Amino acid sequence: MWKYYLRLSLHSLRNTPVLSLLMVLAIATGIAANLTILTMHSVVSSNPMAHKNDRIFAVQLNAWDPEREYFALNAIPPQVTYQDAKALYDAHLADETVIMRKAGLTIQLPESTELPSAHATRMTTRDFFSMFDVQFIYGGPWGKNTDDGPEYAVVLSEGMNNKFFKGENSLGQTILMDGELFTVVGVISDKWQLVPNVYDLNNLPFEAAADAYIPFFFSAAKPYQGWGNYQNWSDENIRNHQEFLQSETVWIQAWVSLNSAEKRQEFTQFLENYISTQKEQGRFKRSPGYQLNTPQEWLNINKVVSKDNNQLLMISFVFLMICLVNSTVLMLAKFLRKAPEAGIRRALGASRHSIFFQHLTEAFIVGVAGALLGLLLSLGGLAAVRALYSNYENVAVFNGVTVVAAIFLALLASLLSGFLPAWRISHAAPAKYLKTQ
Amino acid sequence: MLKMQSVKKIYRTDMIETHALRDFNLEVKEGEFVAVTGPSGSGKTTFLNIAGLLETFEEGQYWLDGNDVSRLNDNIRSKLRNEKIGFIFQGFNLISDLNIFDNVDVPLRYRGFSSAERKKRIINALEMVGLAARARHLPSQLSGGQQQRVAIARALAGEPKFLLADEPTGNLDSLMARQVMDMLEDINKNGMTVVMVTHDPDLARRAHRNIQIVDGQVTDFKIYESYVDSTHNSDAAGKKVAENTI
Repeated sequence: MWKYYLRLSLHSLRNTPVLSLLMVLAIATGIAANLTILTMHSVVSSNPMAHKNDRIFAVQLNAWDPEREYFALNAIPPQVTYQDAKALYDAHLADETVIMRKAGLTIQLPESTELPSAHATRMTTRDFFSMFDVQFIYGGPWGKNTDDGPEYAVVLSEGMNNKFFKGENSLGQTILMDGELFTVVGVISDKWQLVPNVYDLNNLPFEAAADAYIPFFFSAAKPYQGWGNYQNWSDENIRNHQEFLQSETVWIQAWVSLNSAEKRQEFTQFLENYISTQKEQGRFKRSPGYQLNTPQEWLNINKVVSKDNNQLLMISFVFLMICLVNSTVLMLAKFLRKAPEAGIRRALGASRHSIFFQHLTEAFIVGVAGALLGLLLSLGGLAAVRALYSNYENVAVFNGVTVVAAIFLALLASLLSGFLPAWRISHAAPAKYLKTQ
Repeated sequence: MLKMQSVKKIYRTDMIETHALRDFNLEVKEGEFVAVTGPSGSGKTTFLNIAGLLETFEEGQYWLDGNDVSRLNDNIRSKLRNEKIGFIFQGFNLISDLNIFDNVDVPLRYRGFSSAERKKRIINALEMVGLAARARHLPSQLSGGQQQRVAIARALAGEPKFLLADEPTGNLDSLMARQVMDMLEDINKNGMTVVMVTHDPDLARRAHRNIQIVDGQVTDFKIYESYVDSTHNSDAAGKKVAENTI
């Protein structure tokens, strides 16, 4: 009978093209708006490091102003000072230790005569690549000695590799970064993009990954142009780079990997001991002295998903329901107009179930057509968001959530907009319509 | 074939209670051609709807083809309606956007016949009413008489046990009405039980029996010896064999 219902439904929809189109558009509009917002929300609210949520931690150290707490987040600064970062690194206690910052370095080929342009560069210790599952297409991270040296090694993004080396294997090639020669040791795939970039939420959490990566301790050598956040509570008179490194300015992100409970206990004991020692020098007068945050906790503390995001999602669902109600009303009007035909069919032996499923099939077709059109419109919506807001380039993208949501919404739309009209017409008294045909 | 005993049907609204049928008793034997007459509001349509399992009733019993169908659920009533009853309506009640072939196909779809079986039955039924050549036409492309013939074909395609006809000639001119009545008589002669509601006494006289309903009850019935020609005068028309007033 399903084939018969399908045939009757298509016939019915063809006979009322304008009404059918209006119903489909009503559903499509609601689904498009909802899918666009839902896709973005799913990306924004996801935890790209969920699989390591129990063993990597963002380190917060509370060496802030004794007179007042840090003004944002969880009242503890999100970044650490250089001396604290170095202490964490030098302890060599965690399974992996990452200290890093974002800078802007000019990058050009040695023989180039063009004016160089500045590119986002992450200055980091090598454990960054393994901790955050960075994917390489050529080479890999630099060695440990390179970190400590530091040695002039650079990992490029695939985009930069395409720009300077036409996408070929550039291992061993050299480039000039801020006037100094660095040797390429690895090239990262452009497919690697954490969204949100949980490892550095100080800037835009959805911005693209860096163009280049060099060892962190070059930061100690000279003041590179900082592209991150710098905060200081004290009234220190910082006159040079060395004084800057010794200051209470927080500008470095710190992450550790602690793969067992014992390691975690050992590390927290280290932090407590370190803080205790620093207290003797007049630092760490606030409490708590430190906090270790899982990636999910870190995302929550930084409020990556703002209240506005959540409210926008709710509004999109309300809008979808309004569109479905409109479609329901149109469908109800159409089905009731066809009530005499349903009466005839009932007289000829159709049960209520038959009439119900016949009309629900028509509603299903409208729902599916609306969902497909809505999916197309949402792709347009996502493209528009990407065009208007460059920082959402990695957020407003079609993904598996979009597809699953589209299927689910199609079914929901069919059921919600079709159930009442189909039920109503299947329960109409057939005798009422037979004489008036 | 059809037996109703003490059937009571009440229509209720917030303000009014209407007793459409009260202590209604009627029996129709297999192969009979029965005409049901009565003034407007007498309960003829209600009787027809109950007989056709389109409506339920409050009290009484109804046997159809030997089975008690008084308190069946909607699914079973729909199935019985599909298998045992053929309907013919005053307004034809063809589905306007389906062609003739698909209109006759409707009851067969709900019976679950195969595609080949349905096609065979449809063609036979349309040939029986002389409209096989117009199978792909829409109802709007046919005359009133032709549409009623299609409705008859639709009613017969499933080989029901009996036909219920509600004013089958009400929307037709006299020539077409005569053709349709001739057809119904032929169908009856082939063994089909026919129950026909009509206002027209001339048409009623063409039946074996004429039942009169007044105020929801059978008040009178007449049994006729034979059929009459519809152009006849009333003296020759339908020589009554028996008459009873209840």
